[in-house]
Formats: sequence, C-alpha cells, structure tokens
Amino acid sequence: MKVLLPESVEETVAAIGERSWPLAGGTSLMPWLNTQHVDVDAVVSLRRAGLRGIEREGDTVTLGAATTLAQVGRELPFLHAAIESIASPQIRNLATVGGNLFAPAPHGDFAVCLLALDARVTVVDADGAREVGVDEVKRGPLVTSVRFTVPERWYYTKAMRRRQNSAAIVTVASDGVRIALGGVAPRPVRALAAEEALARGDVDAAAQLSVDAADPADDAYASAWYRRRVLPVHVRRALTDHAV
Amino acid sequence: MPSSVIELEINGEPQELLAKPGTTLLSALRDTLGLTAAKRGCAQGTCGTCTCVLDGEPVMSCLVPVETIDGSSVTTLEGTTPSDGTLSRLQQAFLDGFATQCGFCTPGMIMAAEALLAENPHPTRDDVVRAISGNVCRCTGYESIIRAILAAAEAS
Repeated sequence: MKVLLPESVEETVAAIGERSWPLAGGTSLMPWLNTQHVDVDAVVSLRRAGLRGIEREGDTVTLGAATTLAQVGRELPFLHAAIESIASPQIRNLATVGGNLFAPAPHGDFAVCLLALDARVTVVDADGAREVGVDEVKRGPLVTSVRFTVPERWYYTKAMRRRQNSAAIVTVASDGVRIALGGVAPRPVRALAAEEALARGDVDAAAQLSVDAADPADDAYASAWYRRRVLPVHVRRALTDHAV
Repeated sequence: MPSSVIELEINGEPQELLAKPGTTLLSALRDTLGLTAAKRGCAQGTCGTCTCVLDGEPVMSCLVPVETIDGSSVTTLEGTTPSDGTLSRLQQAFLDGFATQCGFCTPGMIMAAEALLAENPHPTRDDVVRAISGNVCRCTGYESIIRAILAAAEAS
C-alpha cells in the first residue's frame, strides 16, 4: 500500500479511485488498516491538499474539508459544545469536517449539526466542482469544503452512556427551525414533521413527531427500542433547556 | 513502493528515519527509533496509550501514517523526562500519588496531561477529566490519576 501526498485538489481528485482511498484525519480509516487485511493500493492523504482552514465573511462560514474538529470548536463558539461532545481531545485533533460526513451511526455528530445548519457541501470529481446538501454526500467525489450561515439561535444535545468520549444514543441539533437527529438512523436525518410542529410553536408535538424520522438500530450503546423511547425527551430538552 | 526518508524533530532533536509505506508514527517511534514509551494498545485510537504531542497537539500516534507528517515536531514521554536522572513534575506526581499500577496507560496519560498543562497551567478537575477522556486505565479507577495531574499543576 502506498501513501500519496498530493499538493492540490486537482492532484487529489486524480489520485483517488476504487483502490486508492482518501485519508483525512485517519480516525475511521486507520483503525481498519491497522487491524484488518484491507486490499487497497494506496491511501491519498489530504494533509497537503490545501483543504484546511476556516473563512468567515459576515455570517457565512466556510470550513475546509480537512479542518480538524478541534479547530472548529476553538474558532466557532456556538459549535464548541457539540465538538466537545465528540470522542476525545486526541481524536478531535485529527478528525476532520469532511471525514465526519462519512462517519457511520452512532458517530457523526458534527454532520448532524451541518444538517441542521442546512450546510452546502462542495464536492469535486473529474467533471468538476458542484454543491450538494449534507444528505446528498456520497462516496466517490472529494469533499473540499462546507459552507453555512451562523444561526441566530442554536440548540444541541447529545445523550451518551458517559459524560465524555462516547458515541450517541441520541443527538439533536436545531437552529430553532430545522431539527436534525443523529444516532437514530443509519445517517443523520431531518425530523420534518417535528419541524412543522415547531413552526407552530408546539415543542411537545415536535418532540413526539421526531420519532417519525427515526429508524434506529441496536448497538453496544443502546437498543433501537430505547433510542426510540428517549428520542422525544431529548428533542424536548434540546429545544427548551439547551438554548445557546 | 520503496521506503521513504522522513525528517522529524523528535523531542527537540532533528531525526531522519526510513519508513516503509504505511508505517504509523507509533511504529516509527517504537520499532525504528527505539522510543518505546508510547505503547501499542488498541491500534484503533480508542485507548490513548500511544498518545504523543504532534506539532503542539496531543494525538493518537497509531492513527498517523508517518509519511504524512514529514517535517513535523513530535514529543514523546522520553522528551519530557529530565536527562539528569530526576523525574518531570507529572512523573513525580504520578509516583507520589500512586497514580500508576500496571503502568501501561501511564505514558499516554502523562502526555495528555502535558498537553493540558501547556495550554492551561491551572486546570479545574473537570478540565483534567476532559483532557484524559481519550485515555483508558483499567487499574486505578482514574481518581489517583486526576489527583496527580492536579497536584503537578499546583506544584508548578
């Protein structure tokens, strides 16, 4: 297996393929490479591809795909609590914005935030660059950046087995209009029926209707039954107790 | 694919090493440079015993292909130990507070604590708990480790 270190987006896009995988922070891919036999020709590191950094223009924030979660937490105060709820300091210093979009449930809490922020994701492949929604991100094209507007209101809560460094039982992120859920479906999902109730100001109905969006799984952290049972509680708490 | 020559600043000294493709920072430290303080535990980034400081930030060295950090600076537990035979303030506090039993987690715990104290010399208990939340200890129950880190902070 080779380790490639392209120095531009163009070189990176040309280098990645079926048997050469992008490597950002390595927090998902390296455990696999360290412990399994993986039949892959190369990993393509994004460290030198110029994809790190946070740009602010008025209320609009653009995060380079290889920006670490730690940097996001330091520079964007409204996201600090969400970032701190993810894994450990050593992982947050490696894990990236782009990588989090591909983290399978019950991981990927930052992707839940990006979904609630209606972030636009720039992806690049051989045909060029285009923007897609968080829920349209697929393996294949290279994610180069995400862009969103800093919300006026922000709500976030994550139910965990421990206070630190644990995957989600339920994650809830909301700007007071959109409600995004994590841990309760294979990927982060919008709770559309709950959002309609929230628009009417009915938080209790929003909490109950959030279950419509859930398709939870059993795992080591919680059963599907438990996740479904506690989801309305955490949605209600997120929308009432956790205003930032 | 041939090995590559990697230049790193390790514990303040420039070092050159030859790395086969895909070698992790942890393997380079242990198997090539003989710096065996950082331990290979889970190889998945979840136990923290391989924690090293990379360009000023604590990371899991088992998750970093060394070819991707050519030119970086790395600090390991060896680099925090005084060369005159004494112990660092954290090592001394761990010893005094019986914060180490089997010792396997200790290098990672101390490196996570070094990174905390470099950024925040007067941490609260909660700051310490957060700083070592990526480090697993199966002997002590953590309390003695938390107390030792707080004691080291107070001593300086």
